[in-house]
Amino acid sequence: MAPMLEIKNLHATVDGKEVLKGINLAINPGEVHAVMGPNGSGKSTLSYVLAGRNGYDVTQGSIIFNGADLTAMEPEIRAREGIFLAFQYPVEIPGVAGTTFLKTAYNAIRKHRGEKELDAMQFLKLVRAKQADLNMTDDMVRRPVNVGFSGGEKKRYEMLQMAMLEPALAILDETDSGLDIDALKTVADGINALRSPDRAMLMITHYQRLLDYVVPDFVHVLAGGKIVRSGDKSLALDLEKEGYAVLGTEAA
Amino acid sequence: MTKRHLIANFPFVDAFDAVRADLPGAPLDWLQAARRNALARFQDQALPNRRVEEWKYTDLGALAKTDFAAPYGPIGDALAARIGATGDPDAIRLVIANGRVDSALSNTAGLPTGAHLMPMSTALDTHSDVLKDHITRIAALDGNGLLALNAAFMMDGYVLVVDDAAVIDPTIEVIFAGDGGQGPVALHPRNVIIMGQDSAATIIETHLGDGVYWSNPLTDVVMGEGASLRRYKVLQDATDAFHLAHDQVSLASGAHYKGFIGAFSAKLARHTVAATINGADATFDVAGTYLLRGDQHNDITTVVDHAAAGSASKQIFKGVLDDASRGVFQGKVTVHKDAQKTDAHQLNNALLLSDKAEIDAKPELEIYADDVKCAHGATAGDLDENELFYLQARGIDAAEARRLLVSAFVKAALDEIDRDAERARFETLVDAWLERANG
Repeated sequence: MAPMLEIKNLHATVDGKEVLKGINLAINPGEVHAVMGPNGSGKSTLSYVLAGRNGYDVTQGSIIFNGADLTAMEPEIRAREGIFLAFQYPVEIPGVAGTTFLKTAYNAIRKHRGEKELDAMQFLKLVRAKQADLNMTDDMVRRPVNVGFSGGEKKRYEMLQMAMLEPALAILDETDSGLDIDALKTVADGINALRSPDRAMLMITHYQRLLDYVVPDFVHVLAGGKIVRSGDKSLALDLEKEGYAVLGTEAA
Repeated sequence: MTKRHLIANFPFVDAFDAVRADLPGAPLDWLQAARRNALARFQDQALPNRRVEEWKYTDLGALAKTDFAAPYGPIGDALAARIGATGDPDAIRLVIANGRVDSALSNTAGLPTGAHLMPMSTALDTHSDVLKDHITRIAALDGNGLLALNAAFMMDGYVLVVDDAAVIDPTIEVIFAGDGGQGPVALHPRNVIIMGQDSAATIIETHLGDGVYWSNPLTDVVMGEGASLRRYKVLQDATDAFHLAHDQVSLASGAHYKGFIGAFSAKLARHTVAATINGADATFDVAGTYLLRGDQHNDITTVVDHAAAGSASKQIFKGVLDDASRGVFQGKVTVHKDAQKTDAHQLNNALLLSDKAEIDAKPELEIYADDVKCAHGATAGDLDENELFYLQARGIDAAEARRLLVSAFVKAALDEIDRDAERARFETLVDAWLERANG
């Protein structure tokens, strides 16, 4: 069986500058992969390229997602096909009510999957059930998207969106950054709750600490726009001990 | 000397002697004299061209070249049907069609005690003593040819008088319709609002029409001490229409004017809102939104004079400009020497959805007092790429994402409307505009 996501020799530029220089990665349903690496190694670029952000251009190689060419799809189509990017810096959108935002997104995805759209009451009921697990209140869910949220609240809101949209592949970009230990545990519980045999996850992180709570099946080290080492969770522990400096020679 | 006016030969101006007998207040000698004086002034001043500083960004050339006639006959059936479908059919309403009250479409039966609403023609028959001062004062306003034209050709508008201490809760609906179906016509409605001491009222004006017409309404608002007026304008004029409005507001101590302008149409529009604050603790707020596409041109010009201490004014406008449309915001605030503790705030934000769209914003503060708070801001920009991508990354298509963001942008202006029913009405109009954008 072909993997859910297959990245082959991926080269990508940001504003004309090559940042990814030949990535190879295959992810199967049910697997949790962690991508670690020093600042500037291309971790966030990889997440944006997968989500289809403007200005992140694939110049070589391929990304096949569930048998289809991902690079040919608009960002919203990727989302409807099951890609979810949890943002490192979730965007504040004044004037757009959180419930409007989430309901529009939810129904767009349902419609794409050929499922019935939910009315306002059904939708609210569903959100209420999910928000409780993430310690979120009605007010937080209703207010303008991310406006007035602390760093931790923004990350919990990302997890709520992920729980609602039920993606096939969740890309978590530095989801642990800016979180205190309690918030980290809440967010990690949210991620673990969504682990399932049908769903894959790609966790992008600079530090090992999230991986104490969400244990990955595979760990990859990204340096200089390439995956320079892959292994199991013990690789993350080695890196924690030795630091990224040991990769210096390999990360040219 | 450079010429500071446009040459215009309007058929309706030549027809002054033929039409004046049909205009409101024809038997009143003082009014006939005022009309004649105003006509002479127009012939002297003509229309301003772009060399006149206040008209630098709004070109009346296309208006000057159109052969506007005096309005004739009743309005078309389709237009009458649209008037019937506007707003709340059970509301107290006055309909002014092609410069004349349309009694069949009007209904003022439910007007509460303390409020008097009538068309100008009726008011001049029954209350000319009350109106004489107002009309002669406006006729003497040293402005431009547009004001002079309205003074010369003054037609039906509405006259609203609210007695001292009368608080009128139901919204008063006034609908202005222009019909240029049989050729371009020029309309010069005159409105007078006199708010008694500690009175309160809410008015919503809707302007709509068909074909080529020029609406040149002039509204004189006099607010007594402690009076409160909410005045909302819905501008849904025809695509080929011209709309040049002038509001002249004066406020006594403690008076509170809260205006809102929603501009959704017309080929060329300018809304001048001029206010003189004559008493302490008075507040003059006007907010609005303009949503433009095609080659529409919309100009909001505010002129606020703080002539008394301790007063406040606020303007908040949000403009959305698509295609090759053009918006103008000119906000002038003058704080006189004795107007200490003035608090004046002005903001114009424009969203440019196309490379060809243009916004010209000109704040102008003249401050002669030393203890005042005056702030102004103007921004122009495109939709935020980060916000768009965030929405798309959640499965929302690009068009819908844009619609959500534009609607959110406009909402900040609509939030200034503190009556739910009226705010909802503007929201519906904004949504309809956005739907068309994606149609």
